[in-house]
Amino acid sequence: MDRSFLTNAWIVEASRNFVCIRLATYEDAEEAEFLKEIFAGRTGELENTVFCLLGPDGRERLSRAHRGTNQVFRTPRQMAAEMDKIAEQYPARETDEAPALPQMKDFRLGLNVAACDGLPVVAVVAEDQEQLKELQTRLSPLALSPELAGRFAYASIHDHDQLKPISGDKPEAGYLIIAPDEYGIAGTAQQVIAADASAEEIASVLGDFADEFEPPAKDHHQHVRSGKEAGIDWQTEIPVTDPMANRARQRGGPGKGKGGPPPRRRKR
Amino acid sequence: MKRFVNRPGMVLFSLMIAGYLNCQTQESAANEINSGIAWYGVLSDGLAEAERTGKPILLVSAAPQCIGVSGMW
Repeated sequence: MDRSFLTNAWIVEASRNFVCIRLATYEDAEEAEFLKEIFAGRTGELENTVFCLLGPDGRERLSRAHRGTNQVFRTPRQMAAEMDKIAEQYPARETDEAPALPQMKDFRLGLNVAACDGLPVVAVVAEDQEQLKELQTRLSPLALSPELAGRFAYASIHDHDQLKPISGDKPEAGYLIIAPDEYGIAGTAQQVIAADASAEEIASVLGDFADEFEPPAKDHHQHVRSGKEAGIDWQTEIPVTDPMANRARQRGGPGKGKGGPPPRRRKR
Repeated sequence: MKRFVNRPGMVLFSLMIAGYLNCQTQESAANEINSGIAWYGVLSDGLAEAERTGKPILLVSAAPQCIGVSGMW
């Protein structure tokens, strides 16, 4: 995924007037069908990445769809300008209803995505569904605030066994800040925010933590190589259908074959 | 012999350089932000939020693994 656009300041600013949905490809069959309708590759299959700007109904296309932002827009500035024009046509309306928490489908995926992004995770831990809903509702406006947006990954714990890969003190209920390991399959508990903490207290703790958190530096090739050596084998919910990704997997790595890259053809 | 010095030209050139540097500084400052995009990771949650607010949608998807190695897009 090309993140140069999506971390650009103009795009981040323009995104405040959008609902930003980032799906993990191949992790949900229904979502995969939705994505395939938005953009499918030459083979007609879902590929690793998809991008599109849509209307509030999730169907109206407001931009071309393609694999990535840089296949549709030349520069982040151009994309931000287009987003601003679109936002003027779709002004946000105020409602009394609290927003949903911008979280991942489950904790396992949340930990992985956090590792991909170099972010800490906030796990919402509760003893029952009612408490979970209450904790999510208190957190969601903060997660969407300009001060905290994009600084944490979020996931909810429905079963305390899900926290087994996490070392350190874990609460029965509350907000658990976790630093994921480099592969996003385990992590370390960093701080607990009590279940009865006020929104102000939560915002203060999260803000301070985010200011201090330093993600590990990662090199793509080194990460994949060491992951393979360590036996890391992430199982997707549905099969990967990106032809390039599958060819890379058969070769044993991105850009590498069993005998190295294919030889260049001589000019005749 | 008096050397010809194009003072207005030099002033204009200096202003242009200053303006360019200012833009670069602003661009650098604009890119130095701490917060990012708040992503909905579940389609139904995001669609519900769009319906609730009337906001348009920025949709992306990416695979959080590379040839089976997680922790990397």
